[in-house]
Amino acid sequence: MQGIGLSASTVAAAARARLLIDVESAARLLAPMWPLHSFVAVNPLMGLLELGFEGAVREASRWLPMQGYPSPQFMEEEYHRGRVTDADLLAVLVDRRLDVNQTLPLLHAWLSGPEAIPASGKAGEQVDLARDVGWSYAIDAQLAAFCCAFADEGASTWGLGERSGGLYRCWRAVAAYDPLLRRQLRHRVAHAIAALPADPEEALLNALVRLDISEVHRVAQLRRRVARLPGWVSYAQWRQEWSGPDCASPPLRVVDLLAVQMSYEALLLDPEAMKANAPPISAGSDSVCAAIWLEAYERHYQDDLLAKLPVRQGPEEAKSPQAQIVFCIDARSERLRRHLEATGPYTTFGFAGFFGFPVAVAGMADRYATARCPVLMSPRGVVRERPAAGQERAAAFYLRKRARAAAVHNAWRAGKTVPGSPFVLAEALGWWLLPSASIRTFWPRGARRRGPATVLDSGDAGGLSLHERILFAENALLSMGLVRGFARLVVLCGHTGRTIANPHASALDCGACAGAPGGPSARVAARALNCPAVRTGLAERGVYIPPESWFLAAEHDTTTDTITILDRHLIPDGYAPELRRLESDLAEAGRRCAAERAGALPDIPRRTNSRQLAAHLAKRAADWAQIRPEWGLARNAAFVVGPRSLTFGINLEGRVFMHSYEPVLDADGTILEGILTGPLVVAQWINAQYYFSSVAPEVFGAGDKTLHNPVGGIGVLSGEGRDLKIGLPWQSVAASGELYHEPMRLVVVVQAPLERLDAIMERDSVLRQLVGGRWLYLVARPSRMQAYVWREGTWHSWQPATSTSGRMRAGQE
Amino acid sequence: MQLEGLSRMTRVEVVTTGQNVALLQGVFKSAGAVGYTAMSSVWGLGHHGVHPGRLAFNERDTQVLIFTVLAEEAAPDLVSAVRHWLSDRPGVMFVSEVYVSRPEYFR
Amino acid sequence: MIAPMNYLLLTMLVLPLLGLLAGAMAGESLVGRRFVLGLVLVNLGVAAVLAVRVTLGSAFLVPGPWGLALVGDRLGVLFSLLAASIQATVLPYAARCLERSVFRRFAVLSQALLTASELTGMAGSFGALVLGWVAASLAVYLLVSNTVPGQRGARQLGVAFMLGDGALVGALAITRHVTGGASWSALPAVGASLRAIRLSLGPVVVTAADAVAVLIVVSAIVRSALWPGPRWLSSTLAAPTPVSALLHAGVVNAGGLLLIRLSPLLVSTPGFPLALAAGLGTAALSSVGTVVRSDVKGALVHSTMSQMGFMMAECAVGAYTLAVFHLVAHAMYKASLFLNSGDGIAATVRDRQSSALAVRAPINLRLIKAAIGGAGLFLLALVAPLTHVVRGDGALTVTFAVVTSGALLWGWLERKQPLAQELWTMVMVAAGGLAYLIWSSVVVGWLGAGWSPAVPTLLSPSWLIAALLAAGGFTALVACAAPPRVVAQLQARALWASWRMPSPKGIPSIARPRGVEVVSCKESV
Repeated sequence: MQGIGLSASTVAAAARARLLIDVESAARLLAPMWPLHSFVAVNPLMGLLELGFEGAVREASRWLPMQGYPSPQFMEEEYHRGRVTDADLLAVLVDRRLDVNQTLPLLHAWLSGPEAIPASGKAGEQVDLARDVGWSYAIDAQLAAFCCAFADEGASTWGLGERSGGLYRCWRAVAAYDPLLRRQLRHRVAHAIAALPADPEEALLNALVRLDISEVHRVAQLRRRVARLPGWVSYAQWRQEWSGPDCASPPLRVVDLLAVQMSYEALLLDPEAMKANAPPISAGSDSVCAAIWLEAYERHYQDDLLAKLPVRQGPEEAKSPQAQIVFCIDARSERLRRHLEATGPYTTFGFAGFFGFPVAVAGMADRYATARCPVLMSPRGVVRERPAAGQERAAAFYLRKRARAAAVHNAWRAGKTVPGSPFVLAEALGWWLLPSASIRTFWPRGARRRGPATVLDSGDAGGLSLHERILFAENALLSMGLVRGFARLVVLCGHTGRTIANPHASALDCGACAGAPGGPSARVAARALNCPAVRTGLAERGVYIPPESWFLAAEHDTTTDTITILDRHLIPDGYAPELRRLESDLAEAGRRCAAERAGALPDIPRRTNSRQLAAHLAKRAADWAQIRPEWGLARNAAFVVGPRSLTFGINLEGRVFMHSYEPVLDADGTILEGILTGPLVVAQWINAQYYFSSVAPEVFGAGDKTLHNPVGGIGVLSGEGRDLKIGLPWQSVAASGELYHEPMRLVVVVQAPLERLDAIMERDSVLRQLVGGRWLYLVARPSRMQAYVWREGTWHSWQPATSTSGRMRAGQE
Repeated sequence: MQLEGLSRMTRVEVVTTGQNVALLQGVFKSAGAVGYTAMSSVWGLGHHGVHPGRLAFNERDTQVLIFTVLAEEAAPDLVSAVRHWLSDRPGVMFVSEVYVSRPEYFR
Repeated sequence: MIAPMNYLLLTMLVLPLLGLLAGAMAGESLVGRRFVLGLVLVNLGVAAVLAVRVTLGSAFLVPGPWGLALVGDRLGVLFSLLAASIQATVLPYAARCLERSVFRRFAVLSQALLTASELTGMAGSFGALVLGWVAASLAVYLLVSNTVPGQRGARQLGVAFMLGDGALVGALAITRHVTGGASWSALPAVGASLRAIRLSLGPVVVTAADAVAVLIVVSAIVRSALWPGPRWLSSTLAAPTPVSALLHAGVVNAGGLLLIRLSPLLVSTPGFPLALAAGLGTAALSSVGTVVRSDVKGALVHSTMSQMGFMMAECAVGAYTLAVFHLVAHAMYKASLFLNSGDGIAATVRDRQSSALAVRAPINLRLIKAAIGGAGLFLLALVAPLTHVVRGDGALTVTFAVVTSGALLWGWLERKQPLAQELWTMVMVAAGGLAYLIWSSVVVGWLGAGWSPAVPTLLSPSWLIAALLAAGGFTALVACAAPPRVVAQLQARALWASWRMPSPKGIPSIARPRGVEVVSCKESV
């Protein structure tokens, strides 16, 4: 035992440091969970990235009741539908160098086998009160209830008092009133609580000693506890590591959670009995058959996609476009881009929805600024909305109106809280609320808030310096490959999804803007790119923007497929005719997009008229009862990096993230490196979130939306459970009991020379881990002739599965 | 070099990816260090190959150098903790003697 | 004029049954959904027509076999109208938010619940009331067990309802045994004959009326989820939003209806005091639970319990028309709030973001202004001859309205505003309060026309006013004079009590705690 010759305090310090490290190791089982007001999709197994996909799934299944692969029933249905064929299986077996004749029958036999039941039964299940529960459930229930109160960002009227010391200290102050402890410890409860250490790390160490858990087994035992409350641990991980320095919610750390949980155990449970009765830690479920079927399923799609890409010179893009429009890489933009290019002489680009300007934005009436950049970056400045020139009176009026609305809301809260007043409040309001609820249900109508004309200028005080703006602008334009040949109008189009009464609303917003609408980012970027000082700086760096080019900001509402031009008051007069034409073309493209999309939405009535369809979609977006206003990013499958000529005119069904990239501009590969280590990671997170929400919905998905109970303004509980639900709701990936999203790993197609990709993989461990660990597939297309798939350390020439099976059959005969 | 009037202390430096920095800050603090210095976007050639400097759209997967100076008596704790941490994470640690003129800043 | 009304009444009961069949056969198709919804709207229309006819004419009785009867009076028609309107709001919502197969079950069972509720409301005799009551309990149990994944929530609810229904059936059995059939007009005589039957248990003399009264009150307490009874309302959290909306709006308020209809049996028994104690206790405790919970639906559950406690207290002191007004308005209020529960995240964000819009006003000034506003409303109410319309219960309504308007002003004036705007706000709140009082007196007057029910002898509405003052005084004391430590303790106790404690039972020796010596970290390592 260490510690000989050292004082007690330094021994304790070393023990605390090691404890922190072990806690972090244990918590890596789960990924951080963003609060629902700015939901960011993450890869639920991102803490286990270095184990590779199959290894991570196996490790996670040791602790959580989940299967990381699609079920045999699902695969059987897809097989019968022809979505995955024997040819695909053969190709996968050949790649894995497995004996075809032996393995193929096993694979088919797996289809009819029962769904494997995970060995670790208790961990991670929803905390459920009404049945006879074990003590670990009871402890988790009380802890989770306390977390609901602690992490509250203002939903309750009489909240916990002093929370700045962390969860453990707050709990320790009130634990003597916990009925569970009082029932067991009776009159000794106050003494027992007072005897607990005041410091969370010390308390956890203490409890570990009391429960007789040695350092060798510590990580495993902590991981077991962590797996019992996946929601709150994920939220705590976000709060301690990813939330900004000025986050308004109380501090919650994983150490505190574990300290409380294990203090409960130390107070209530008998260590020997616990050890004797604890279920063994399972070895994890490993299904090679399931992995092979998944790979075959993915292979089928990849073959389809690669076969669609042009081998010859395809249809030409517009040579001198009327306008250039930059969309977010979001997969929903793919349809709009295609239809817009068909409508008129436009060229489109794809770039992450923050347009290269990492800022935090605060509206005129807002107290807090929210970050509007991918979560892998941190905002460099704060941009406050201010009234446009001459609009000060309108702005003051608007602020007064908002203040009045806030006062009404305050009055309502007071009316619900003051003793004796809720009764007449209910009596008075009920007569008015039900008719308005009925009207809202029968005739949903969205109300668009019209505010004064405002400006979002990143050059204002607190924002970015001129040098920073020039750098960001250059970075963005170079990454897109838009450095010359600017059209008269260049539109930066962010996107957002508008829904009502939907806790997961921000899941439909732009992920590159950290779960917020993309409109403000577009406005910030457009304003900066129109600034003469910035253009001068850009010209000095080699990017010359002609003075007649104007950058516009726009926002694409993905629920109704309407595009709105923002900041019209800033547009100079000379652009009116082009603007009119652009708007009508955008509207037409939006209508075609909606028509293409409509077939997939359930409950769409048979409409022939596009105007009726538009009205229905608008109604859907404003309908508070609508459980599925749009499909969001369901069915996302691929990420394509390359110039538009690679994908021009091809129907990719809105399933593909598309990032523009010009290989010729990028001799040293830094641009491609930036794309593959930034937006690609974000896209992989989105893909993994949808994948695991489809495949393991009880653990990594949020379950049925109709059971959701928003808590504290940060997340949802489901039904009677008290643990936060992570991931996407079932209705976002499935309809009528059938999966709509196809659970596949992302396939990345890059148009770049192989050597460049090799160099980037060598330099960047994040890409190496993603590709080498088989979290995604990397396909390179250095020329039109050939595509290469990276597998097991080298590039293999891509062959469609049908040709492989053909060769095999030919070889057999 | 005149080293009179300077106090000898121990410097512990760690080079690792940006996502591990938060944990290391916590480890440093709980092991008794009162402060630290961090430098981001460091690049170089390591055991696993070249590490790039700045990435355009990612601040968490670049290398960070974080170091702290603390009293010699307190150093073994921190070193043992960081070694424990390094047992399953990528990174390197350098421990060296250092002489400072304001020892009270580091206690 | 009587015969068509009979048919109208029977139509209103039969329509939901048709809807049930339609839902069962075609509930998953668009046509089926629209048909069921249409039937519900027709039902609503029929109820409205009945309401008009009852207003213009007088109450009528439709006798039936086995002591069953239906009555078309204002109370029953209002209750049925309420049930139909809630159904008409929740059903289209459910059509869009539930999956097809779940909606089919929801449509079928909610129509069954509608029939049972209408039967309960329009029951003309004790037997019919109990029939409707038990049918409603069964419908609720089936609804919850068929829409909640897993059987767990339903089981607790089923046990609770069996307890309540068992008590009510027991009361009916005793009554039947003593006197035979009991339609509402015959109830006072039944009550008198029950009181005449005495039984001495040691030093205490108990009458049959006491037993019947206690059983009835127990049944009402269980159905309205009041405090000493089983807290089954929390298990509705496991149900989808439209099911919860229906339960909180249509089912819990039957307890008040029960007490009102059977009030002649409760006179001079411990029934009314028992109901008052349960009602006031729940109102007080659950009000605290409402403000302490941070999840939307959990707060709504506690809110419903406290509102039902208030309604029960109003019934217990004889303010029947006020209680009915309360249960109708609350049902509409709670259904709307449940349907809007998905806004929880956005509402909290809006709150936080707008907290910078103005400077906070100092508390003393706010208090003074709120008091002025409340007093203003009181004076207005005195000036307008409203209290007379509402008989002796007027003081109750006015008192609570004054408290609410004071509370609204208190909240509204939290942000500093120009004086003109503050005065305008006070005027608006007073006007709103006046409008409420007028509307309340209209409805209450309509209900009470020609109705002279049996009221408790010892209890009167002043009990509720006293309770209100006590609660207000206690809160003021705690808020102003108690040290922060005590306030924190109270908050903690309330917090732990507001979440249902899990009850781990029957677990092997894992549960045995070994004593409470806690080894400190420094000594062990």
